[in-house]
Amino acid sequence: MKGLSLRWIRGVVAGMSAATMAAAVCAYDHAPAPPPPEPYRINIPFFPDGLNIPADNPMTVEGIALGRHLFYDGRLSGRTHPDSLMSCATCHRQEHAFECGFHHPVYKNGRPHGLTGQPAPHAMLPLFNLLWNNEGYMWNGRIHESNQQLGAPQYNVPAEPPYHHRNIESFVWMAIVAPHEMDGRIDRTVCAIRNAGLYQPMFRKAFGSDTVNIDRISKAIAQFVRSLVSFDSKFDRFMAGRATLTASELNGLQLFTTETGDCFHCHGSPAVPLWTTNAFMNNAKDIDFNEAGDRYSVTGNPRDKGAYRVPSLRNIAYTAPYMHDGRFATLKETLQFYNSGLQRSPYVHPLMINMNHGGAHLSNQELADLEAFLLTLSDTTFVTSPSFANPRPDDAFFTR
Amino acid sequence: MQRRLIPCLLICLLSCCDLRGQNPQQTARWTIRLLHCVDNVPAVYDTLAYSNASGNRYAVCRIQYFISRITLHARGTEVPAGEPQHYADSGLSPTLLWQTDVPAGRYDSLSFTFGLSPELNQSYIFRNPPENLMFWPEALGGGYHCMKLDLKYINRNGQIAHFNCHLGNGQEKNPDGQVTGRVGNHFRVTLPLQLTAEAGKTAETRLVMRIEKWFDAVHRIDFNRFERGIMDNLDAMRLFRENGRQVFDILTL
Ligand SMILES: [Cu+2]
Repeated sequence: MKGLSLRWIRGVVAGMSAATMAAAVCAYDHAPAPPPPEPYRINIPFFPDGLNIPADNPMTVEGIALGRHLFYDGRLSGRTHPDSLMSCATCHRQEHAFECGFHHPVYKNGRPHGLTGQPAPHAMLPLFNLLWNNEGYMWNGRIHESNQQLGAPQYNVPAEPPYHHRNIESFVWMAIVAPHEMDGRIDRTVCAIRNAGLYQPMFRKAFGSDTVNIDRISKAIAQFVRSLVSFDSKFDRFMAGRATLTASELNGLQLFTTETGDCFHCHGSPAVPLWTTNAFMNNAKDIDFNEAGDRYSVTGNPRDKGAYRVPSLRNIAYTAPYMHDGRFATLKETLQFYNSGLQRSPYVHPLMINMNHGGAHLSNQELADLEAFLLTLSDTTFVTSPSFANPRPDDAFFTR
Repeated sequence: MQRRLIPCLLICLLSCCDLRGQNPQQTARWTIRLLHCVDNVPAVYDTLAYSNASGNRYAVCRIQYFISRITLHARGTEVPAGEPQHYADSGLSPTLLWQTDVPAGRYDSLSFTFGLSPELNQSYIFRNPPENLMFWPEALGGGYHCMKLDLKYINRNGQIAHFNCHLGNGQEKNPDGQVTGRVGNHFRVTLPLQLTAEAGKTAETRLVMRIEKWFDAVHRIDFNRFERGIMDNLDAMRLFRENGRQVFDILTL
């Protein structure tokens, strides 16, 4: 394994039909159309081929640049008062792999709440490598290409195509209106962004005209989120022959990828470098399953009761608390759960063979080795990359 | 002109009779439909409805496996068919139908390797799901699972327990625990077949896995003996491999 080199795949993201886009928007503008945006070419490491990019939102350099600004702009809440600013980055912080982090100054114990104080109904999921998730987003996978739902009548969001529930674009308008997030109104957000005074040229470059609307705001932010790619952990460098692992880390890898720890069937392996299968599984946390947001709520299949997304273990050190409800504050607690806290029920995923004995029953040293291995999946390049950072750290609207 | 045409027609008609007379340009579509049965009826998943020969009450949760080097045979002639390997998954219905073009003709048997044949079973050859999720850890011999057959059963304590019937490379070790050899647990299956593949038409073969035979074809398996699975157990995998040679049948309509 040591001599195996990580194959770098230079993937070319499908080029956009710039001419079509320019033609579609020129009706709104009198100024001459700008040059077509530049297709975003992404260096994809030893990852799968299937990229989840909607046909109507190809990634472009200009679209991502715009999306990055919008991601960090507190006026996304539709308000301009300093106390009412909220952006995606308010909770999705780069240093925590775009989760809020356990020690967030406002969101205690990593539990975010909306502008009105209403808590989020679930723990956060980080934002990286979402390009390679074709199984559905969120803990239960409800946001999926197969979802026909449009709009949100309870929040006066019309049943129109920009308000679909199919992909990352959907999260933007959902975050604006959700009471546990921005608790806003889409028209006010569009107005606040339009009046910000810096976006028209960026919309022009990204989409061919100055027009600011929710469709474009959603698409630009989704492009930026898709550009958040994590592939440079210590373990990635080890696989590429550019780093060595300690004896403890190597033993942790061994425990992870054998029946002793039996982590790999669900969380991946060196051959599954996303470190998740993106599947939904009941991992034996409970005996009763009445939570409204589980996978069963999406599929209606009883086998999915109490099942949630298997999260990626990349950057796991940055993303406490753990589990869909954030019940474990630390990695140690989480490992202890898998070691001796598994609950027997008919709904536990069959791959959880350690359920038979309530856990893996590793020694303290083995648990420490397993944790040491998991820490090699931390991608410091990703959490410090200037490409993903706040583009205007000195702008008051961008500091939240 | 007409005199020339008659012999040509005769040759064409005669050549339809077996593979060796075929114009290689004449191809037929061949479909294998993969079926999974327990006790002669299609498997119903996730219900503790079955009993094996050892009296274990069990449920089949899912089956995922590779078959590779699928070959048709006609009077001793071998015709490799389709892609080198095929992944089948009870939860992904498109994977249960496998199609390829074959030379038109009559075939008398079908063979394939259950699992990946050794030249294919190299770590990291699959980059994409679902195939890459069949990874078999380097520490256990590398390559890919032949099969993941996931079961639940009522154990000797009357509790629901899990049993992962996962087959892949085994490792022989010396008394010091050092690896001294690798045992591929793939195996070749040959089944008699009466297949007439007519040019321009589709012929279908129904290949059925009789799941219960994994537990009793040669060796009677009591799940309690191996408790939770066989993945790092060389002897247990051998028993399953030897049972596995008899799990497939061609279903005649
Ligand atoms: Cu396995």
